[in-house]
Amino acid sequence: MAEVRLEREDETVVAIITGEVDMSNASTVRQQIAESVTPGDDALIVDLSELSFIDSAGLHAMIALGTVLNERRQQLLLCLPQGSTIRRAIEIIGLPHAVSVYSDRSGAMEAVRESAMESRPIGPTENG
Amino acid sequence: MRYRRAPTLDPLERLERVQRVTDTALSHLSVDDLLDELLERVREILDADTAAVLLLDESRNELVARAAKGIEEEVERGVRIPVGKGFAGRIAAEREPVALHKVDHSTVLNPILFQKGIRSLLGVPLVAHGDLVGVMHVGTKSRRRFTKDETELLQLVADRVALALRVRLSDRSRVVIEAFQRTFLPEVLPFLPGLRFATRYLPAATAVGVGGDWFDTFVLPAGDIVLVIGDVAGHGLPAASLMGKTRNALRAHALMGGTALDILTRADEFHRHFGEGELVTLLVGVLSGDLSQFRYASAGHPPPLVVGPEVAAFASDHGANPPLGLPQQPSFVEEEVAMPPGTSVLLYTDGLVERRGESLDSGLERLRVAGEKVLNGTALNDAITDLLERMIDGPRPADDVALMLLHRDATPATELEFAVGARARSLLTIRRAASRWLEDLEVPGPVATEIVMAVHEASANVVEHAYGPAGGTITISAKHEAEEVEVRIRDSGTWRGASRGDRGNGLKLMRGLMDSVLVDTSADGTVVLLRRGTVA
Repeated sequence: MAEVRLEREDETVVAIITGEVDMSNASTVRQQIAESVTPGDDALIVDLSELSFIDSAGLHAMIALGTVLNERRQQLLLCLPQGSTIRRAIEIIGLPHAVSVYSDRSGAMEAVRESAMESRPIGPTENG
Repeated sequence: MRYRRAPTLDPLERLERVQRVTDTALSHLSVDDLLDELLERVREILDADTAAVLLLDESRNELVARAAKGIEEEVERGVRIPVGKGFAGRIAAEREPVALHKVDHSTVLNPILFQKGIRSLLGVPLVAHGDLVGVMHVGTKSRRRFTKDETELLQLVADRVALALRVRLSDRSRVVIEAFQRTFLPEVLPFLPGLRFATRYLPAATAVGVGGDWFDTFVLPAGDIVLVIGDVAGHGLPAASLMGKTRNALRAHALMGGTALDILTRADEFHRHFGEGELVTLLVGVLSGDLSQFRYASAGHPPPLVVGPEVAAFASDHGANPPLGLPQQPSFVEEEVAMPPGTSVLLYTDGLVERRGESLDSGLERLRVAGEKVLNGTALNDAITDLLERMIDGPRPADDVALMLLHRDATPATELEFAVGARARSLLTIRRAASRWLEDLEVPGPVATEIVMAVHEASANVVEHAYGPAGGTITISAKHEAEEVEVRIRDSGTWRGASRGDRGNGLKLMRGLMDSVLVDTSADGTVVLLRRGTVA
């Protein structure tokens, strides 16, 4: 139902999820992404912009993943275009500080680079 | 040469012997016990050293040793004798008793008989209701001429055995056939608003076992609907098991994705590699998730009949169309059928259009004419019955017929109602159905997506909280009027407390996406009512 494509740029893992994520496959998808991150990585970018559906269980899985990464001083950045339904859903649910949202991958990548230069966790996100 | 001749029987003794083999107490025995007991009695009565029963395996036209006394090895070694060959084969072919006074390589196929020192044989056919069921024979180690009385007595036993076998084997094969039918027919027809299905399977009038026709339909993860109809030559369990194998392999081929042509090509490769040269024809169709387009590829199968609001025609059927698994991979062709609203597509096996003494073209033309009259989208099951009445003489067809009719509704329904099992995997079905319905109603995309998300969340809550492990159902009913969509998600369970935190998000999400969310819990269950204006 969903596919995860993994890419890597330096110490950043990029996971692009396509298809549909719901309660039936959310934990599988989360596990698949989590396994791609090594202890030496700085950040994980999960690109949800090609995803056709995600439910609250799927979003919860992303949030839980962000919390785990945060404990290890690794960042989780989500990519979702402005105005998309999934972005709206995320705004309704609300995200913890550990997870930030960007409109596209280059924006997220830039944020990762900046925080690496400043050597501090990524600051406030676009949507606060 | 001297033969030991059995003394002529007096009438009373004869009657007594007949009674021993027609004993009603035997009627309660299982097939194996019955054969065991009767063979023992026959051996005693006829003073023979061996007695055996071979049954006809129709699919291979061979006799298979089933029960034996004195030559048990015959059964243990699974001796098979082609009909027409050797001693037993000759009895089966001629359906007449045969007595043999010289048993060697030249007269019998089964070496066990002469290895055991059998010198004389008497065999009779097992015939029930005019059908050959098998062969029964007795043998002696001394040379012997069997009398007319003895031949008649053996035939009497054989008739009784044949009837018993016929009844009991058909009981048993019916159970097997029903089990097969359950596994080879789709568990549930796909549910998609705007699309209706009807299917039918008619076994041939003369068929002893289940035939090799089947159909299958299922929805792929990406939402496309796969339709398959196929025909495996032959009858009985071998045909049924090959059909089951082909059907399941095809589901796997389809799950790998690709076009109808890709799926058919995989089936062709599969059959070339794993088949044993059996004749299999197959048609694979893929209906796009938005129902607008039907593409199919055929291997030796007659073309689908497409009945639109105005015309009835066969989907074009040019190009190579050989059956599956030929030694050289043929180049199959993919055809496209436009599916505007109001279109019916009929997939069928050739039994529907074949009539003795008629060309295939006239058969197809009869189908086209009948289809044009009957397939208009109303009451699909009745339409199929009507079509079969027009196409088939008598209550049952000469060959098996499998039919699958799909119809795309001419006008979108303003109301939707369906029920699915409260399982996580049903959520995909619910989302597909809701999006399809909203799309037909031309609800703007972003609004439709949000409604689907809310319906999904309400349904996911039912899956997680409404029922115990025994499960239950989710009923979705929706209507569209005055630029508002109203969806009810109903269950009949007793909610267990929302134990996990993420579920709170579900309700939050519904409230955020919909104009109003009402939750009504009563003793009968819970109804979630979602309302949302459809103007973007």
